[in-house]
Amino acid sequence: MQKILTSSERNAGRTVINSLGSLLPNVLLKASLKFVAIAVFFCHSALADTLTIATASNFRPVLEQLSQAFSDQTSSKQSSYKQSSAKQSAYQIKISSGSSGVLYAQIVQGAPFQLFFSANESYPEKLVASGHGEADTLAAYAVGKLILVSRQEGISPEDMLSSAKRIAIANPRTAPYGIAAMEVMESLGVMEKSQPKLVVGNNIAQAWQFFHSGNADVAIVSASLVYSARWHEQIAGSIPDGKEEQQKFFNIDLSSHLKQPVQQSRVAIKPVSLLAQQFLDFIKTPAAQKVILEGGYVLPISVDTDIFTTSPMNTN
Amino acid sequence: MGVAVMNGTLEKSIQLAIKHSLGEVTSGGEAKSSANFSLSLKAQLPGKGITAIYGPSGCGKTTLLRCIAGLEEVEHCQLNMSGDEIGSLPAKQRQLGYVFQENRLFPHLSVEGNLDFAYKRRFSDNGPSKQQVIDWLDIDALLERKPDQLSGGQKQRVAIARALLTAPRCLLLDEPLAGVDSQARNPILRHLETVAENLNIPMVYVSHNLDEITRLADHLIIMDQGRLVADGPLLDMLSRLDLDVTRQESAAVVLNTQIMGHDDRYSLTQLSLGLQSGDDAQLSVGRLSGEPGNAVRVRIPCRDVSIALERPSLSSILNILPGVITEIELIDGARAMIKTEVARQFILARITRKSMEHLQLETGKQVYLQIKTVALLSETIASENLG
Amino acid sequence: MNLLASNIAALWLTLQLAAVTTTILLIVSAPLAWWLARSESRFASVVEATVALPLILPPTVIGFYLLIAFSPDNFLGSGWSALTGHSLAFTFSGLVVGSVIYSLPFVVQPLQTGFQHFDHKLLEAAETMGAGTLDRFLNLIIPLTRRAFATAALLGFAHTMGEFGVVLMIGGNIPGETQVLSIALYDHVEALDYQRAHWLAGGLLAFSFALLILLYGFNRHKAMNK
Repeated sequence: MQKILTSSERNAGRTVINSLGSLLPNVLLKASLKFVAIAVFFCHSALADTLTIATASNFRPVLEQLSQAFSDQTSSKQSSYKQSSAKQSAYQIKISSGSSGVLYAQIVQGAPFQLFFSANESYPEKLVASGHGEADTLAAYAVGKLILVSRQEGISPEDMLSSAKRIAIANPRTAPYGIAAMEVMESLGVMEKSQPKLVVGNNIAQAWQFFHSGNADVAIVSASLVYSARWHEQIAGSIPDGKEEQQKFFNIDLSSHLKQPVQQSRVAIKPVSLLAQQFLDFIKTPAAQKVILEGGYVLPISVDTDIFTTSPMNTN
Repeated sequence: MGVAVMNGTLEKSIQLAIKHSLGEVTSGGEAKSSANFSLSLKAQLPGKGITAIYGPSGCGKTTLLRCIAGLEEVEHCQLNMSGDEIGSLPAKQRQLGYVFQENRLFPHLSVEGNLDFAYKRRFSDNGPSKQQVIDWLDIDALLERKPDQLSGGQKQRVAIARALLTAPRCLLLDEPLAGVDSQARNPILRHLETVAENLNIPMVYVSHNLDEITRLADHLIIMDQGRLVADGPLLDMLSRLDLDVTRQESAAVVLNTQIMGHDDRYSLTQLSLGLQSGDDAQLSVGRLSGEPGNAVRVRIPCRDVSIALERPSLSSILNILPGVITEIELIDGARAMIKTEVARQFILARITRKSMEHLQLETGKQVYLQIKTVALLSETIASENLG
Repeated sequence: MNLLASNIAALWLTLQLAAVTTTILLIVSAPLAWWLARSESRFASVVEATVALPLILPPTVIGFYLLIAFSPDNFLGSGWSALTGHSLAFTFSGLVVGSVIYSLPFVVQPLQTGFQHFDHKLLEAAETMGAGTLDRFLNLIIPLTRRAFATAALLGFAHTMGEFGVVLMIGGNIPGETQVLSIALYDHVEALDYQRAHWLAGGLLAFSFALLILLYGFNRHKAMNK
C-alpha cells in the first residue's frame, strides 16, 4: 500500500515487470510490457526534447549542478544567436539515480535512459559489449574517493573498523562503492570481525543516512557524498552554532587500500540523440571539470586533455 | 415524601437512601426519556417477601433499581442489607441478582451455558442448586437451546433462573414481564410465587402493572418524579384513598384469605377473611384445588362492590360481607369511594354520590357489602362473577 | 548461503516478525479499540486520527522518522540501549517497533468496529453476576467478537508479511536479522538474480494463497453449518 515510491523503488518495480517479461516466451507480451513501462515513464516527459540520464547515487549532486549549468549555457546561446523570432526549443533534463547495478539492469531491460553515469567501469563496458551502449561514448568521467567516516577519532582504518559497533556500507551486490568497501576490509584483514557488524544500505546515500542519523557509527562512502551532504546542510543553514560538535566527524581516505581506484565511466545508449552528445561534450569543458573536482572527485587521466589534476579536499 | 417507619423492627431489613442527579432517565432497556430530574429516596423495605416499586413511566423506578444494584453512578447511596452496608461497593460485589427487562441472556451460550455462567460465579454455597431452579422455573426442556431459539417468556424464565443461581442475597426484577405476551405471563408469575415460597431472600419487583403487583407483592413503594410518594404493606396501600392508586378505574383491593372448605355439591369453595372467622366474613368462589388452610389471595375491584344498609336476604349475590365504614372520599362530581373494614381488612366500594347521600353513609356506619366479582390472584387473572 | 537456505531464512524471519507484531498489536489494540468504541470525549477523534495515520502515510515516511528516533542521540534510541544494551536500528526489535506502528490501524479498526456492534448491556448483566473486568473481557467480549479478533489478527499478520518501505529504511538488510522476504526479493532483483527472486516470490504467493483458501473455506463452512 505504498503511494509514493522513491526512484529506486519505481525502478525496481519496473525491473520486476520487465524481468517477468524477459522470461515469458510470448514476444507480444514482452513488447506490451515494455510499451507499458515506456508509456508510464513518458507520462512525465510531455515535451519534445528530453534528456534522460541515469546516474549512480554518488554522482547525482554534481550531475544536477552540471545539468543546470548546461541549461544556462544552452539558453544563453540560443538567445544570443536567434534574437528575432526566437523559437525557444524547450528541453528537459531528467535525472534518475540509484545504485549502478540497478540502473544497469534497467537499461538492459529497455529502460529509456539516454546517458548512463555509472560508479564503475564494468557496467558501461558491459553495455557496449551487449550492444546497448555506443562504443565511441564510453569514457571515464571521474575517479571516486573511497572514504571511511566515523564519529570517533582513530589512528587507522583498521582501528576504526575494529572499534565500531555498526559499519554501514552500500550493497556490494549492486553498488561499486559497496564492492570497494568489501575489498578494503579484506585487504585490511578486518573482514571476519567486521562482517557481523555490517549494515547494508541500498546505495551509499542510504549508507550515509544510517551514519548521519547516528545509528551506524562508521560508514564507508564516497568523498563526493560527504561533500554534497555538507553542502546541503550549509545551504539549508542547518549546521547551527554550538551544534558543531554533533556534526563533527572524522574521515580517512581509503584509496590507498584499494587495488584500483574507483574509476567511474559513462556511456550513451543507442541511438545517441543530439542532446546527449551535446551534454557529453559539455562535460569535457573546463568549467564542467571544475564542478566535478569541487564535488570531491579526482579527474580521470583523460586521453583528451592529458591533464591530471587533483584538488585538496576539505575535511571538516 | 418522607420516611416510612415499619411497625416493629425486623431482624432482616433493607434500608436505603439514594441520591442520584441525572440528565437522562433510564426507563428499562433502550429508551431514555430526558426527564431532567433527580432521584432522592429513603426507604426501609422488609427483609423478606416481595416488595414492589410502582409508579408511572419515567418516575425513576428502573433507575432506583439500578442504583440499588450499583449500575448507576450516584451522588450518594446508602444501602444496608441485614446489617451489611453495601452502598459503596461496586456492582459486582453487592451480591444482588438482577433480572433485566430484556433478559440479556448471553447469545453465544446455550441456556445451560448461561446458567453455568452464573453458577460458577455464585456468591456463596447457600443458594439454590441448579436442579432446583430448573424445577422452579420449569426450564428443563430448554437447556440445550440457544437464546435465539426461545420465546420471550421462556427467555425470562431462564433469566430469572440465572439470577438465582448466583445465590444473591436479594433478587431485583425490572419489569420482567414487560416483553412477555399475556399468555405467558401467568405461568411466570406462578413460577415467581414458587420461587418466593422456596427461597428465603427478599425480592424487589419494579412494575407499572398493578395486576402483577397485586398478585405478587407483600410490600409496596409508590414513586413519582424521582421521589417516594408512599410505602407500606400492599394491602394497606391499596385501600388508601389518599393515593393515586385507588383513583384509577381499575382500582381494587387485595384480601388475604384462607380456604375453609369446599362445597362439592355446588362446586364452590369457601374462603375466610380473618383468623377469627365468623360465618359473616366468608367468600364463596368457584371450586379451587387446595386444602383447607391454604392461603388464597383475592382481588376485589371497587366498581364491583355495592353497599346496602341491611343484609339483603333474597339476592343472587352470594358474597355479602358486613363491615364498618372507615372513610369516605368524593372522587368526582358523580362518584364517591367508600372504605369499609371487614375482619381487619379493607374493602373499597365505588358508588354514586347520589346513592351515598340517599343512604346517608358516613364513617362508623354498619353496612353490608355486596361483592359481585372476586378475582382469584393465585389461579388466573380472570375474574369470577358470582351473582 | 545457498538458494533454499537463504530464502527459508527470509521466510522464517518474516513469519516471526508477523507473529510477534500481531501478538503485540492484539494485546495493545484491544483496550485501545474498546476505549475508542465507547468513549464520548472529544479527545477520541484525535486518537482515532493518530491511529489511522499509518493507513495513509507512505511507509518510507514512517521509516524515515523511525530511523531518526532510533538514533542513540535521541530519546527512544538512547532509552532502549540503556535498557537492553542494544540498538534499535538494524535489529529485529527495531523491525517489531516499526511493524507495530505500520500495522496498528489494521488491527485497531476491525476491533473497534466489532466492539461497537457489541451489546454493552450484556456486560451489566455479567457485572451483577459478580464478573470483574478481565472476566467479562475473556468470557463475554472475546467470544462474542471472535470475528473481529480474527479479522484484526489476519489483517495485522498479512500486512506485516508484506511490509517493505519501513524495513527498507530501518532494516539494514541483515540476513537472518532484518532481511525479510520483501527485502530479500528486492535484493535478488536488484542483483539480477531472477532465479532466486522467482523462488521467493512464487513461494510466498503460493503460501499466502493456501492460507487464505483455508481461512475463507473455514469461515464459509462455519457460516453454512450455523
